[in-house]
Amino acid sequence: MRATTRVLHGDWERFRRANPDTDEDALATEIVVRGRRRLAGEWEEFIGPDVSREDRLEWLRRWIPRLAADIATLGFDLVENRGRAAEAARLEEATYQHDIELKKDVIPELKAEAKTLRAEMRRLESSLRSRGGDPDSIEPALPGDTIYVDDFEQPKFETNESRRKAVVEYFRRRESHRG
Amino acid sequence: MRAADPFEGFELDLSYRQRRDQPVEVSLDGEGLPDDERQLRLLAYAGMFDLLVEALMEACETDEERDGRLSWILGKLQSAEPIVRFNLFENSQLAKDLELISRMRGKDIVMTREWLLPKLDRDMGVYRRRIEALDAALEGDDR
Repeated sequence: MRATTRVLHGDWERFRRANPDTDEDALATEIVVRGRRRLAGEWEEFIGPDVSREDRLEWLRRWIPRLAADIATLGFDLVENRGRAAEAARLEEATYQHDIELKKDVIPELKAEAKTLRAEMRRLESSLRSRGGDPDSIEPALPGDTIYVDDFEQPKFETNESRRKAVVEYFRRRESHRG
Repeated sequence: MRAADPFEGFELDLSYRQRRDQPVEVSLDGEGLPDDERQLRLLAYAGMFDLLVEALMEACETDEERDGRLSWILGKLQSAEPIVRFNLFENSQLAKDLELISRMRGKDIVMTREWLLPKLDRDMGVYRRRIEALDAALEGDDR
């Protein structure tokens, strides 16, 4: 049975440099045999300080491939995830720009226009009423679900210049109070 | 050392935040391989590092040298592990948070484009028609 997985290019290069003469087919089998051997059995994360050098070497020989494989797998996820985070940041920036464009340029303009039209409509209704007419009899009647815009104010977005003016004004007032 | 050290510069490999290399496909051959790609990757890395450690053992001339070199590698791995885990958690969290913000904002944008803007447009159409009708009624009065 053959299968493929992905590893980081640098890791594969390091591995190939250490095994330059082995062909890919032999490596495909050897990696699986070795990997299974190293992942089998209990995890021995620590070894006592009093063991012989031979035992310590044997433990290092078993433990390092297993620990390195675990970290490399996490590292692979980290590198892959960085792409996901970058894409998420790009998308967030794009939606932010789109949202601010709607809130700053499109919606205020429409609401201001709607407010002006409503004010004109109210003025004409009042005028008709003052002449004894009945605005309620005029069609089209105003639907009950129109968006309320009568107290709409243009949003004030801070700019560097407006912030600078506010700071200058603050210090000017403070100085005049002292004086 | 009687041959090149296969772990030369290994500490740089563990700086995953700085790494820019892309994934490569690796073929594996054996019975009953796991279906999950992540498990396959762990298996592949375990086999690759086993062969690398063996190459290091052969490259060293004495057990003292082997012990020293393997202990150095172990130290680097132990130092790197919590950092990699934390960075992975932090990055995943950041990506999830940004994706959530984009989804919520995207919903707002869709609501604005698909509901608010057309609704304002329809309302203004009614206002204009009603203004015309009121104007006409007032002009009729004038006459």
